[in-house]
Amino acid sequence: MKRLTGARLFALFALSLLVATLGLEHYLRVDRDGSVKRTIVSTWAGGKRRSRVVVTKDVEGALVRQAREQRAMRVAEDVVDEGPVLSLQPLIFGASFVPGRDGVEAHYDGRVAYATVDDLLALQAYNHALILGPIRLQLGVDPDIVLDALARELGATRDELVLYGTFRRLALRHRIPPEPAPAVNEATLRTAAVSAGRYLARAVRPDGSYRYEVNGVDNEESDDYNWPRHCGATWFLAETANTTREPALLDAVARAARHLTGVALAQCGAHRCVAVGDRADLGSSALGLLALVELVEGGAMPELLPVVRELTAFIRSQQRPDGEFKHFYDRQKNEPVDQQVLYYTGEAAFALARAERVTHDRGDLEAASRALEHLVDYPFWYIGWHYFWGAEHWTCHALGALWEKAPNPKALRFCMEWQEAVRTTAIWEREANPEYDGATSAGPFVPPALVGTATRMEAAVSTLRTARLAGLPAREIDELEAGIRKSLAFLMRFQLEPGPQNVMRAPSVMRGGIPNTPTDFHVRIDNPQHAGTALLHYLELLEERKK
Amino acid sequence: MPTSLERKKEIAFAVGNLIPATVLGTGLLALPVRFWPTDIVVGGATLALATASSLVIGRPALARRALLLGARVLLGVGILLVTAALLSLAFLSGIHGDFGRGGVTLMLLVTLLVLPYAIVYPLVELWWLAARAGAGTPASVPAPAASTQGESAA
Repeated sequence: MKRLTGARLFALFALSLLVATLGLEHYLRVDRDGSVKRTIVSTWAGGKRRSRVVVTKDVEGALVRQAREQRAMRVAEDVVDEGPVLSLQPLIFGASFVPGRDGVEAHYDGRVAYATVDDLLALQAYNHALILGPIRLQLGVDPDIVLDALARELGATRDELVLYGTFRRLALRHRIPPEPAPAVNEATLRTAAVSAGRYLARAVRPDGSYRYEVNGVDNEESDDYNWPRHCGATWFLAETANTTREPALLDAVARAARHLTGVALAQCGAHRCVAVGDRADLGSSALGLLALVELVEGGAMPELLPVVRELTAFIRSQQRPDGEFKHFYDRQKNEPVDQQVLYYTGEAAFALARAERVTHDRGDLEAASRALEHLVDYPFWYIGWHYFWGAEHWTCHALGALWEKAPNPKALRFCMEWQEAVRTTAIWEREANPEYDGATSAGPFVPPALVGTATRMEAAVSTLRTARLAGLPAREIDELEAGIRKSLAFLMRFQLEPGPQNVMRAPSVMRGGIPNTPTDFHVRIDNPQHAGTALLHYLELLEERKK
Repeated sequence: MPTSLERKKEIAFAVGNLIPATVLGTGLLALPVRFWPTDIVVGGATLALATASSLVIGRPALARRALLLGARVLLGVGILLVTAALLSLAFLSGIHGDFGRGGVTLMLLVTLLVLPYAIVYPLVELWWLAARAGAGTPASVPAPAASTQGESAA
């Protein structure tokens, strides 16, 4: 009897929970394919909103005169559905909106204000992380920014709004979609890759350093700088300059290379390395070498060949007998530091493989081969092995660069399997954001980072080229290429070409940049580097196939 | 007194209860942010499970009652976890719509990792205890028959 009662109570609880779960889901759900309920028309100039009306008819005529007078852009955002906001508690409020899709409507004292998608982009309110100690919870919007903005709009204090205001979630859709995903073909790939190169060329200052990270919304720069990224960006810029032979690109890459050799070349014991402090890292020298090799090989700066030889000597001196590299060098003690981080071994392997093309030194090739062998020699129990699960894309670049002279079938299998894992864990069929298909996921509820997708696609293109050369089965190659095309379409869709110009202060400066995410328009120099490399190399593959 | 096999099963359940106790305790210590309702529930559950398992191993006479306590605590924590997870998922699904393939895979993985330990295991333990309790309590004990022999002896 007692057991029966317990079972009944448990069943009743399970049923209640099921009803509560389904009810909550239904209560909050919005129909993004719904008909237009009303339209919020705004004018924007210099990245600031100048005027706004909400209309249910004559959308095309709304604010036309104001836009002309203000020399502003007119943008219409359709409200296609709306839903409740359960709470103003920061965690719940922050998670109550889909970045890039949802806006907020606030009612207070008989007045109404809107924070539309464009407003939230301009306010940089999406991509907010709630920091709880070392825990970083990614939310839809930043409650502080949104509530402050709405309070200002309503002429109230934030406390008044929180106490007496009511809030609704708005499912919004731009009347004119920003830019559809372009078809992936030679013309679009060339446009996108060259545009990424031009962005970087514009970012090179007269002294050869880069505007390292620029906020696309306000055109402000960060104070950070990173030498491996300077070198990586210069490598891609050199590739684009060699491809296009555009004077502006050639001039910019020469400045960046001279800055590298003039400021950052230092002594590491008996060798020359890239370092700006007491501790040299292998990544800077490897990526610096890659950039200089490209400039020597392309004929833009052949005088750099001696530096290329010096850097290869340093990198090879850091290699251990098992193929792994010591990733740092202590310039005070004049000794290598046998510590490893992600990327550097792959970068060194790739750089040495490429350097051999101009040094013609068999030792460079052998060192690169041994490093690649080490990188793909993963243990049986590899679930926590960082060279597989991280974004270590350089391994597959090294595979491609070595294939003709030192083929490594095990490395090819490794890269094919890694790419299968990349495709499986990518975003597919996310209801609120079908345009994210093919992107590398940063979590099921947050916008994907473009650079994460870009690095994996660089590696994918190198793997594709090698898989064709190796004659792998057509089915495997087709699957890999289909994934690449989908992911490259995602990258091109969100390249600032020009992007949502209305919310940007200087859209022409940002043109061609690859933003951090679809709703965070910070462009760091390695974003266009990685995406541009993937686009350019796939373009080269398509062109090779035609020959 | 339980047979040797039954005793082994008791100890197996006690050790089994120690695993979620360790996971909960470690999780509590690893959490960098303190939130008192969580601290009380998780800390209390960890303590109760550890105490119950110690009693099962150290005091065989109290083993069944201690196991019952451990199973109930574990089921309670499991129900709380699953309720919170389902309501959170319902909330996020309402906001975002379908999560897509990746999201569903992640949720499925979490469910498969949590459900067996948080719900299925304590239910099995409770069922096992209830079955033993039923068998150990005589349903109806017949009254002893009168002995003529005894009477004559007296």
